[in-house]
Amino acid sequence: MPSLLFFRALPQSFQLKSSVVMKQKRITPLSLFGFAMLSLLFFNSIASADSEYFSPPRNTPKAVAHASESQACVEPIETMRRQHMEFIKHQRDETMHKGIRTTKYSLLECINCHVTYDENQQAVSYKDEQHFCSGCHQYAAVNIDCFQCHNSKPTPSVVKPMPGHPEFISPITIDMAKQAQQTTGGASE
Amino acid sequence: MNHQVSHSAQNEDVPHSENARRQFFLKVAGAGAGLALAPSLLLQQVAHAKTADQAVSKEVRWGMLIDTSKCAQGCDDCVKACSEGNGLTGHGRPETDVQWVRKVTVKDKQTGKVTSLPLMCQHCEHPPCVDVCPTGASFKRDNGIVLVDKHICIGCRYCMMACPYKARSFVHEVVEDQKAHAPRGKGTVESCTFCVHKLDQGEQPVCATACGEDAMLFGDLNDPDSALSKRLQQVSSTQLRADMELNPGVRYQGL
Amino acid sequence: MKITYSELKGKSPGFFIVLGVLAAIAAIGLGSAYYMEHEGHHVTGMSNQIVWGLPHIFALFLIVAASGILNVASIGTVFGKKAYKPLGRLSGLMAITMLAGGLAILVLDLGRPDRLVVAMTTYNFKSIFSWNIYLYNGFLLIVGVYLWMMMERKMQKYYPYAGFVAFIWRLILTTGTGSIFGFLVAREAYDTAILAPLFVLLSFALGMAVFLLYIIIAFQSCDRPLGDGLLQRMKKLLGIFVASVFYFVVVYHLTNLYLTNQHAFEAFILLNGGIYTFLFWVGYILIGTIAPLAIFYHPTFGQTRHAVTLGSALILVGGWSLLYVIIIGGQAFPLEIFPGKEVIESSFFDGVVASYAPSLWEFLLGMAGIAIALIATVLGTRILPFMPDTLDDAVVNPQAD
Repeated sequence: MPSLLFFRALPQSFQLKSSVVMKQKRITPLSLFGFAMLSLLFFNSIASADSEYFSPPRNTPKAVAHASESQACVEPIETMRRQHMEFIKHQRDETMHKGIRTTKYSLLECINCHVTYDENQQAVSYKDEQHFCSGCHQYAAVNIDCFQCHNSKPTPSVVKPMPGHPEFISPITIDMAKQAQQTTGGASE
Repeated sequence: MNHQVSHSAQNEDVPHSENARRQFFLKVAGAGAGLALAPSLLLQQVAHAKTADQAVSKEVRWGMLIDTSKCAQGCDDCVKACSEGNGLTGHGRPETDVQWVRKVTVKDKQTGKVTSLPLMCQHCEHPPCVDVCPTGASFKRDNGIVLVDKHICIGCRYCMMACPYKARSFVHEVVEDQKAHAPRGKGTVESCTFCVHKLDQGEQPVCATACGEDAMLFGDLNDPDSALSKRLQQVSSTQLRADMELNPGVRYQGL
Repeated sequence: MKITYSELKGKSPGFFIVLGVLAAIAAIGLGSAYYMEHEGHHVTGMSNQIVWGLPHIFALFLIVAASGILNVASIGTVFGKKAYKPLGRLSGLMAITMLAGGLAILVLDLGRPDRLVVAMTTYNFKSIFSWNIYLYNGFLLIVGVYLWMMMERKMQKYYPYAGFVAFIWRLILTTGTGSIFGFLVAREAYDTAILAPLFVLLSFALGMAVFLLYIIIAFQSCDRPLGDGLLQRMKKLLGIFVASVFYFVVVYHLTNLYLTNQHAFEAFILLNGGIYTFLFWVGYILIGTIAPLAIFYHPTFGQTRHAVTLGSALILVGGWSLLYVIIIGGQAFPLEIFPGKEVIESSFFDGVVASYAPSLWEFLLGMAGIAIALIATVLGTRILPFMPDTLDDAVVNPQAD
C-alpha cells in the first residue's frame, strides 16, 4: 500500500511536466519487470550449473533401475513418488545431528538399490540420463542438490550381483529401456 | 620422565581393561546367564558405544589423547588412513587441497626440544567456528564432536577465519566418486569428523586404529572408567591454545 | 531560493556510453563469478590459508562506503545543517546502491551462492554474520522508508524521525561490519574491539569521499551547477574524518606495540611484511592520509575543485589499502597454534606467512560490484528525481547553519 501511494503521489510532489511524468510512469514498472526477469534468469543459471550434462528426454521417463517383483520399495510407490524427498530430508537431519543411521530412508540405500547399469555393466552416475534419480528429475526440471556431495553410484561392496550370479535379479538394461521408451513414445505420439 | 610415565600408564591401563573384559565374560558365563546377553552388555560397558539406530547422547563426550613421545617424525600413517578412509583426494595443489589431519613438527624456542604430532579439529567444548557460522551449519553434536552440516553450509568461510587451529578446509574443486559414508563437495567447508560414520556404529576413528605406535588413544572423556579418562588422570596433558579456554576434546601428552 | 529536483534526461550519447561501459564491466564480472563458482575456488588466489580475498575487500569497501554516504543525509536531517539538505536524496540513494553492490560481491563469492535462500531462512543468532544479514537488509529497508518520507510531500513531517533511525542504524551496521573481524579471537590482527570504531570512522571518510567524487562528476556531466563553497565545506569535514581514521589506526597499532606477544605481528605489518608493509606505509599513510590532508589544507591549491577531486580519490586508494592490510595481512600472518614453539615442518603451511596472489577473476568480480552500484545509482537518478537541479552556492548558501 505505501508503495502505491508513493507512485501515485509522485506527479504532484515533483511538479514535473506531464510528458516526463507519463514517460516515467511507463518506464518504472517496465524496468522493474525487466529487472525481475533478468535476475530470475541469472539465479536459474546458477542453480542449474550442471545442466550441460543433461538433455531433457521427450517423454516421461521410465525408471531404469534395480527393481523387481521380489523386492518392494520401503513405501508404496505412490507415496515414494510424492514424498521421497521428505523421507530423505528427515533422515538426513536425524543422521547429521543425532547420529541415527538406520537404513530404511537413507539416501545411501536408495542409491544402492536403484542401480542402473550401462553397456559395460557399470553403474551409471547422476550425470547419465538413465540414472534412476536423474531421469525423472530432468523431466520434471527439478534440480537435485544431493549429488554435489553424495556419490550417486552404489557402494562397491554392496553393488548388486552381476549377471551370472545366482542372486542376480535382472535389471532392465539400457537397451531394453531404450526400446521401452521408443515403444511408449511411439504409442503416445 | 614423561616417557616413562606414559609407558607405565599404558602397561597398567590396557591389560587392566582387557582383564576386566575377561573377568566380566567369565562372571557372566559362570553365572549361567545367557551368552546372548553378553555382547550387547559388553558393548555398552566397555566402549560406551551406540548402535546405528540410537541417537547420540549427552552422557558421552568423545576425545583423544595424543602421546607425542610415540609419534614419529616423518610418519604420516594417520594422515594416510584419514585420506583413504574419508576419500580425501588432492590435486597436487597444497594450498587449496583438503587436509583433515596433518603432521606438524615443532621445536621449543627455549629448550630446542623437537616434537612431532598430528593436528586436526580439536572438537572444542566452546568451538569458535560454531559461534560464528551464520546458518548454523557448523554445529556441535550432543556427544561433543564438531561437524559441518554441508546441507546448509553456504561456503562463506567465516568458520575458517575463526578457527584457532586452522583445522578446516574449503573444498576448492569439484569432487567426484566420494566415499558413500563421507559425502563432500565443492563450495562447502569441512574438517575432521572423528570418523562420525564409524563412531555412530560403535567403531573408532581410522587415524586412531591406523597409528602403529598406539600414539592416539580415543575414548569417552565423560566416562571416568574409559581408558582415555584413566590415562588423562595419570599423565599430564596439554590443550593447544589453552589460553582461549575452548576446552578442546583432543589433548596432547609430552608437548 | 527553493531547491528543485529532477530526473536525468538520459538522452545524450554520453549517458548511454556510461551505462554501456558499466554494464559491460558488470557482465564480465558476473561471468567470472560464474566461472569461479563452476570451477571451484581453486582458480582464485584464495586458499585454505587466505580464505577471504580480493572480493571481500571490494565488498567491504562498498559496504563501509555505503553506510558512510548516508552521513550526508544525516548531517542535514539529524544535525540540521541546511547546506547538506539538498544532497539528502542522492545520499540515501547511493547508500542503498553501494550496499547492494557490496552485497552482490559477497554473495557471488560464496562457495554455494545458489543457497542464498538458506542464508536468509536459517540463522544462528550467536553469529555476528547473521546479525549483519539483518543489519544490511534492515538498512536497505530503513533508508528506503527514509527516502520515501523525504521525497513524498505528505510524509515530510515524519522524515526527521526516519533520518534519526537511519543514522543510528548505520552506526550499528558499521559497528557490526567491524565486529566481523573484531570478534575473531583466533587471529592476532583481529581480536580487538577497536576495529569496530575504526570501521565506523573509515566509513565516514570513504563514504564522504565517494559521494564527493560522484557529485563532482555527475553534476558536471549533467551540466548542473555545483558550488565550490559547498564542496569546500564538505572537504573540510572529510579532512577531519581522515584524521580520525588515522587516530584509530595509530591507537590500534600502539596497543599492539605495547603487548609483547603482538610484537611479531606488528613487525610483520610495519616492517617486514612485504606487500602489506608497503600498502600500509605508502598506500594508507602516504597516499591515503598525508597526501589528501596536505592537499585539502594547502592554502591555495586546497581551495580549488581539483584539490577536492584528487584528495577524495587518494582517500579511496588509502582506504582500499588499509582494508587490504587488515583483511589479507591479518590472514597472511601465521596462526600461533604452539606458543613458545617454532614450526619446523608442516604440510599445511603452519608457522609461515601465507602467500596470496589475487586472480583476475576476483578482481573482475570486485569491479562488477562497483559497476552494479554505479548502474543502480545512474538509473535511480534517471527514473526518480534524486538530483537537485542546481547546487550553486547562491542557491544552497554553503555557510548556512
